[in-house]
Amino acid sequence: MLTLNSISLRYDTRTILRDVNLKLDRGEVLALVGPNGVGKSTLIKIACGGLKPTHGEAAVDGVSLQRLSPEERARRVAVVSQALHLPEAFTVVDTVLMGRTAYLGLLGKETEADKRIAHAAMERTCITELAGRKVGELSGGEQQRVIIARALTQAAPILLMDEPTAHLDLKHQANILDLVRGLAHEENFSVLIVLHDLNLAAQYADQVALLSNAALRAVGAPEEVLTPHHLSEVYGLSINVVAHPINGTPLVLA
Amino acid sequence: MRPYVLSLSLLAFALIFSIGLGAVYIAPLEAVRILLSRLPLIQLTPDWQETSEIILFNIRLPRALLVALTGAALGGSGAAYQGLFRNPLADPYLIGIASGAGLGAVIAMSVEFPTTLLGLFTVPIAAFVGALLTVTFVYNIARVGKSAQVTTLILAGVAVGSFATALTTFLMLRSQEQLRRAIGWLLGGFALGGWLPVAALLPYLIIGLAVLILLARPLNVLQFGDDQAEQMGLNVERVKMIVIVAASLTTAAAVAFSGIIGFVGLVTPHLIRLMWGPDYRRLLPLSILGGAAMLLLTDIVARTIIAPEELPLGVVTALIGAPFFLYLLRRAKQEMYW
Repeated sequence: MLTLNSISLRYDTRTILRDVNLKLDRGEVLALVGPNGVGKSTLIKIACGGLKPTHGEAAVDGVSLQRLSPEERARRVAVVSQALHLPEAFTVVDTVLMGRTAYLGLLGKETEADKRIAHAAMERTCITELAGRKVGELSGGEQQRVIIARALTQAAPILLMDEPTAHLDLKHQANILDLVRGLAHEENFSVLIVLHDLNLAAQYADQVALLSNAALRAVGAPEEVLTPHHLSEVYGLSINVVAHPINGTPLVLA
Repeated sequence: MRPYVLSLSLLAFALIFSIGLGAVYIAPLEAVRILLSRLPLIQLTPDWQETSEIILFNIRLPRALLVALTGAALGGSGAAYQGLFRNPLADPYLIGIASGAGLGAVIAMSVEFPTTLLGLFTVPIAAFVGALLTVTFVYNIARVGKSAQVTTLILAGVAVGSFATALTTFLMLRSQEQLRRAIGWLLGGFALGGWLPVAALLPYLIIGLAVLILLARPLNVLQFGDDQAEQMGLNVERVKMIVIVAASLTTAAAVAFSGIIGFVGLVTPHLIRLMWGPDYRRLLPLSILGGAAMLLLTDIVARTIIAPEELPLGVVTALIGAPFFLYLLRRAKQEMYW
């Protein structure tokens, strides 16, 4: 279980995050939403231990991430960041196998078991047939799936994703989000996912956290958080929310 | 397997060819037989002149080995630095080794030392110390807390390097009678002969290059950038630190005896990458073998092209290396190899 306890972050006089409290349970998809520049990506960096908050702490099962080594952190938390740079000349399978780093130490070699884990992750993200290709030859969407496969190969129970569907077309968007939901509901992964698209958040998340002006505005089930009242206030324009005609989740109309 | 067989054969060919060439020519086959005769369990009736054997063992072989070891050191640490700095322009001299070694050597040359054994070794020792002091200084300047940013390291290296080079130039102009010797050293010249330099260089090389080869996988992971590498569980700062120490020791030891030979450390890893891909688990050992073979071949040219005079090796590496590298770049411009 990932907990963010009263996280604050300040650079000089600028407040990036103010007293953020969040709890991510096992088997849960928590969507982090909010306007541009409210600190969503920063919160992800803090939640994976890559950035130390000014106050508060990010902890996994009660252990502060700042007290863990990079190996120990990576075995607990895997990250799919936004707009990642990937070296072009490595093959897909080599890139995915890098996800095993936390288990190999500085001097370890990949075993057959590591390769099986990587291949399973490639199958789940539908990139098996790309295995031998150079990453630089792939489309943005394919590269995104390579990064997700690498994160799965890391076999960490907590998955942090920063706009993982940003470059994807509708089909692959649905594929990835179905996969994410399956991981949480069927295999007990905890997923914290930054989504720009409020309707995707409504459709796929169990919980939604709405970030506004460096602080949490609301946390709860999608229909409690994605209300015209909250959204109009946070986004600063009049927003309507209706029930989705097919599955009944909130449908946001701006 | 094929890349290793290929580069090992190239290295063997270059070595045998190199020890045969000189004022007294020793044919490759004869050279091989003389070498083999020194191995235990092999019985060969000597049908060669005794002088050939003496020349081979006391002059040619130690020199060829020193050249090969220098090439190996430059190729290996060049590959490691390119990986560490994720920069195709990186070479073993990027963070101040060459300028530091140059300053140390020129300071030693401007002092008249007695020609005892220790006196003969003052230039290499001063170069070695100068190189390591410079790198340590650069690393500490670039360090903030526990981490050293790659960009800051490079910039600090360039600044400190320019400063040291300026001092070196000043010292050289002040002591004109040593100018020629200093320039010769700076361009790469193997002033010291015999087995002693080989023996002095070997331990640094074996340890340094072994460490770099062992860290090949972490170097692969580092290609994704510090943030991603750390998120994948790599102790980024520890890897950086170890690679810098290992590559610097290796390079400093090589530079101490052979002067500043450019281009090999830059080009060899690119050549290997163009041919066999970016994976450091292959790239590092192949750059080491390739660097050794390349420098030996260049040395052959340097010794023969205006024989009996010798060109400084650093001049020849760039004269041959640059056009060859440009040709390869043209051919490979469609390919993603970095």
